[in-house]
Amino acid sequence: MNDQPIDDWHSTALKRCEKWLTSLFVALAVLAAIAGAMIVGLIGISVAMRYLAYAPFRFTEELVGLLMTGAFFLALPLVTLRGEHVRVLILVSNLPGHVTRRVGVFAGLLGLAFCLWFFALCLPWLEFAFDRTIKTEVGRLLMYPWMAVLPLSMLLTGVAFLMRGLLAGNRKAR
Amino acid sequence: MSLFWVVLVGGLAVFAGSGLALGAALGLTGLLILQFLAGGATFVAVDAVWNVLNSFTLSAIPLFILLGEIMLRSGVSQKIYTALSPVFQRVPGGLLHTNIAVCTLFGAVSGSSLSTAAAVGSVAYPEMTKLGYDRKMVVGSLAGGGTLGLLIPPSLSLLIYGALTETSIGRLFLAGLLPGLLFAAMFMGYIYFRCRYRPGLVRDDSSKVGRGAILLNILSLWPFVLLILTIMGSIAFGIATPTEAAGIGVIATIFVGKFWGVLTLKQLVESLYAAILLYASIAFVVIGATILAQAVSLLGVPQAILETVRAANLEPVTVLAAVVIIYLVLGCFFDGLSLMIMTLPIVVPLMVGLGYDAIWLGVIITVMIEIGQVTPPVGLNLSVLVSVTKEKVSLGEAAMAAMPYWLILLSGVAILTVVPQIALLLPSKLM
Repeated sequence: MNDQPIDDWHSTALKRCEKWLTSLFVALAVLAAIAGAMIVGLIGISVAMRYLAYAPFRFTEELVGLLMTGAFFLALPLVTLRGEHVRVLILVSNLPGHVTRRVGVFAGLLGLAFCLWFFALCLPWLEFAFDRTIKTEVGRLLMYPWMAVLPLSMLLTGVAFLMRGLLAGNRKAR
Repeated sequence: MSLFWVVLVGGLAVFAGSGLALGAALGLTGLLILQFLAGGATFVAVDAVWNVLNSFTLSAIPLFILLGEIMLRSGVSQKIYTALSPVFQRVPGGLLHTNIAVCTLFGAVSGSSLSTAAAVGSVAYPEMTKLGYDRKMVVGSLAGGGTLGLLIPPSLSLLIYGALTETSIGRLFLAGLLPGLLFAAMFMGYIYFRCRYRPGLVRDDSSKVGRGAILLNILSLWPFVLLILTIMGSIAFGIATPTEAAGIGVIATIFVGKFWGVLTLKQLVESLYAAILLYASIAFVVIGATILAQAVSLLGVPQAILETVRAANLEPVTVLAAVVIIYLVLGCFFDGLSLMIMTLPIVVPLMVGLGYDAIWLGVIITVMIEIGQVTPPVGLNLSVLVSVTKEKVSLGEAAMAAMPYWLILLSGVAILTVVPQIALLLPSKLM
C-alpha cells in the first residue's frame, strides 16, 4: 500500500520535524554504538588483565552493565522513530486504509502513554539515587549519571511514538 | 484472578494488535495490572527494568548479535560455503546437505537463527539456483537449517532464558549442543531420502572433486574452527563467563574477518551500529516483559496456575502438551524471542513446579521458538529468505517448503521429552 500526504503544509512541518528528530536520535545512536565498542574493549582488556597481568579489574561487570543500559536507552528513540521494533502487524496490515490510519494514531498515543508513565516513575527513583549519591557495590561507580539516561530516553522515545502516530494520521491509502 | 486474565489478554490483544511496539504493549499491560490489581505497585517496574538491563549476563546479547553482524559482512560465510560445497557431492541432496552443515557451523558462532539464515542464504541461494536446484527445496533447507543457529550454542534464546530465569548459561549452552546436532542429522536424513526418491530436485554434478581436495578444503577452515573452540571452549571449561566469551569472540571474529575474510573498517562500524539498533529492539521487549513479569509474580499467578493444575490432577506431560500447543498457536503471531520472553514468567515456574528440569525446559522452549521462526505469517526465517530470493519464492511457498523441517523440529520435542538425557548429558558430565 502506498501512502501520500493529505495536507501539504501539515505534511511539510511533520517531515521537517521528523528530519530534525532523526538527526538528534542518530547522534544518540552513535553514542550507543560507541558504548557498545567500549563494552567489547573493556571485556578484552579485563580478560587480558586477569590472565596475563593477574590484576583483574574490580569494576568490569558493573561498568559493562551500565554501558549496556546506556547503549540501549540511547538507541531506543531512533529504533522507535524508524518503527524497527518487534510488532504484531497481522491485524493492522489487513485493515482498510482509513482504519489503519486511525489505528496508527492510536498506537502512537499508547506508546506515548507508556513512555510518559514510565518517565513519571523514573523521576522519584532518580531523585532518590541523586540525593544519596548512590554508588555501585564493588567498583563504587556513581550511578545517577547513568540512571538519568532512563527518564531522558523515555521522554525522547515518547516524542518518537507521538511523531509516528502523527505521521500515520497524516497518510491516506492510495 | 479472572480480572487479571481479562486485563492481561484484553490489554495485550488491544495494545499489541494495534501495531504498537511489543515492548510497550507488554509494559503498558504490566503497569495497568500493577496499578489496578496489585495495589498501585508500579514503583517496582523501574527497579526491575534497571536490574535486568544491568545484568552482566545479559550484556552477552549485544555482543553475540555484533558477532553475527560481523560474520554476515565479512565474507566468512562465503568461504565456509565454498570449502564445504564438495563434501556432500556424492550424497543424494548434494548442496542441500551443505546448507545444513554450514548453518550448523555458523550456528556455533552466531546466536541467532535469523543471521544464520541470512548469512548462509545470501551465499547459498544464488549459487544453487544457478546450478538448477529446486528453489523451494533450497529455501526450505535454509529455513530449517537457519533454526539451528538458535539452538547450537552460543544461543540468544538460551542466553535470555538463563538470564531471566537465573539458570546457568554455561549448562544451557552445553544442553543445546547435542539436540542441535541431532536436528542437523535429522534434517540431512530428510534431505537424503527426499532427494533419493525424487532426484529431479537437485542437479547431477559431473565435475566431482577428489577426496584429497575435500580434505584440504576442510582443513582450510581452521581459523573458523579455532573461533568456535575459543568461544565454546572458554565457556565449557570455565575459563570465561558467557559475556567474556562473547567479548573475546567479537575480537577474535574481527581478526578472522580481517585476515581470513574481507572485513573493512567501514563494515565493522556498520556491524556495530546495526547490532546496537537490533539489540535495542530486542531489549525493549525484554523490559516490557520484565514489567509484566513483576505484575504476574506479585499477584502469584504461576502459583495459582500450578495449584489449579495439581487440583485437576493433570499429568505433567499433558501440561507440557498444552504448553507446546500454546507455543505453536502463538508462534503464528509473535516472533520467537518475543514469544519466549513474554511467556517465561508463567511457563517456567509452572513447568519447574511440575518437576521438569529448568535446563531441559530451556532447550524445549528454544525448539518451540525455532518452530515459530518457520511458522507463517510471522516466521522471521521465512521472511528473510523470501527477501533473499527477491520474492521469487513467495512466503506461502517458503512455508510449505519449510513444513518438513517444522515437523522434524516438533518430533524433536517428543524425542527430547522421551529421552531428556540428549539435552542433559553434556551439562551433567562437563559442569
